[in-house]
Amino acid sequence: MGFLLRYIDCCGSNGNGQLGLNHSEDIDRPTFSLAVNQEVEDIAIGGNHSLILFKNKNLFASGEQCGFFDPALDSDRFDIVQKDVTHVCAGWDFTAIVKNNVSVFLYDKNGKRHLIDLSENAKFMRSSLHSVIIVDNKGSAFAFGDNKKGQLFGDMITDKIVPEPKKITFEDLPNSSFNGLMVLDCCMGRDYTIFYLYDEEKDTNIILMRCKTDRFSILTNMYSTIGDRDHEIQGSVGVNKSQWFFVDKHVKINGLKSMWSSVHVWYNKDDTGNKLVSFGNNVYGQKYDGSKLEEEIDSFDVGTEHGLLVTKDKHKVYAWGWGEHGNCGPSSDGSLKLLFQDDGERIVQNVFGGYANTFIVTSRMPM
Amino acid sequence: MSETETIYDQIEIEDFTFDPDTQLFTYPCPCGDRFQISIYDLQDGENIAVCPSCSLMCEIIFDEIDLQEYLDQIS
Ligand SMILES: [Zn+2]
Repeated sequence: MGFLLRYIDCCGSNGNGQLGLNHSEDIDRPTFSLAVNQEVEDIAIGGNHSLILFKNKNLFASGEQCGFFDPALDSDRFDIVQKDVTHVCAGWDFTAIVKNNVSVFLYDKNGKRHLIDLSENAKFMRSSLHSVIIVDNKGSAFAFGDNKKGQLFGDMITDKIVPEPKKITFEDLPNSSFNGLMVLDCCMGRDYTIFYLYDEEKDTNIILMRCKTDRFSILTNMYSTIGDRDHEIQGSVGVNKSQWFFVDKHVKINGLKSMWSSVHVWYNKDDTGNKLVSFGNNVYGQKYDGSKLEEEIDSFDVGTEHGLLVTKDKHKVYAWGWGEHGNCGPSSDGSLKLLFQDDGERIVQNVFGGYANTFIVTSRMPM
Repeated sequence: MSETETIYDQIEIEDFTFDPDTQLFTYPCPCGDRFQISIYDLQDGENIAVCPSCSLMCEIIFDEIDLQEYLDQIS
């Protein structure tokens, strides 16, 4: 079948050639970067580098030493850098990959390190500037990196930097009846983590935050919107502490993502349709306001301080939030704006937000 | 700095990287560059770090007493 061809268009911050456009100027309109006859599995974007993972496990990279911090690799074009990669994430100045679902490697200015071989296959990875969380198929989570605010391990590991992956546990929750909480999803802001947990025994879902200060009242506002009001918020905020609440039984969370200072939840209550709601810093319009959007949302992603969504018809991409580098299009003012509309022959597969840049994956529709 | 300017976020001094050669504190900016402020500006009571590549500004959270360990690093 000849329908696998994928096109990648990008815009926004490009000071190190991380958009793969053969130059290092910022650009404010989605511009063609790469076409490959493979489905895109994921795109990971770091401070000044970008990585595209294809379904055939080939990893392409562009930007600052291609994220592998080997001066020989410095490039402003996407090219293949690794094979057998199943998961990828990027931080400010590092790249972490999982090879063949179990072997975790870290690449940074200190070179390459084989960190761990997981006993279960990896399911997904999340990252922030200097931290990584890996969740496996059984819902166990492992993390390494910056833990200065207790954002990874809460009370369980208090080291400020955790260089090797350690298991994340939730034994600091005083209710001893929590047995084997599974991590369904998680997202990291600049200095906090939100975990979406499942307690199999009680068949309840929990949202838990680890951070030093919740200065944007993210957790309390999440509780007001998706919390189970029969229970109060539990725990407290502070270094090496955890604060959490039970999720309303009528709420199904389908997406949980974080910019550096706001959290975005895509959820469905009582099967009334999916809603995207934001919590946190709004000084640049980072909180999603979809009141003018008449179409339904197919999917969304967020970058450091901007958001992107694909409409249900898969023909349009809208952007909102901080767009100073052209990452939200040429006339960005924070509000929701149309960023990309296909020519009628393509459909939008995914969108990915990075450090003030945007990646749009499209495919040509079958004739 | 005037109070009408937008402060993007507050960042603690312990999160910044201090370079004794340039006497600058730096911290990643969401744009891919770095917020920066000199230790002498902090001594003068300035607390807003700026990014050379964009308009974002952050407030650096510190106590005067925090500066001594960094001043000691400058030869
Ligand atoms: Zn900047």
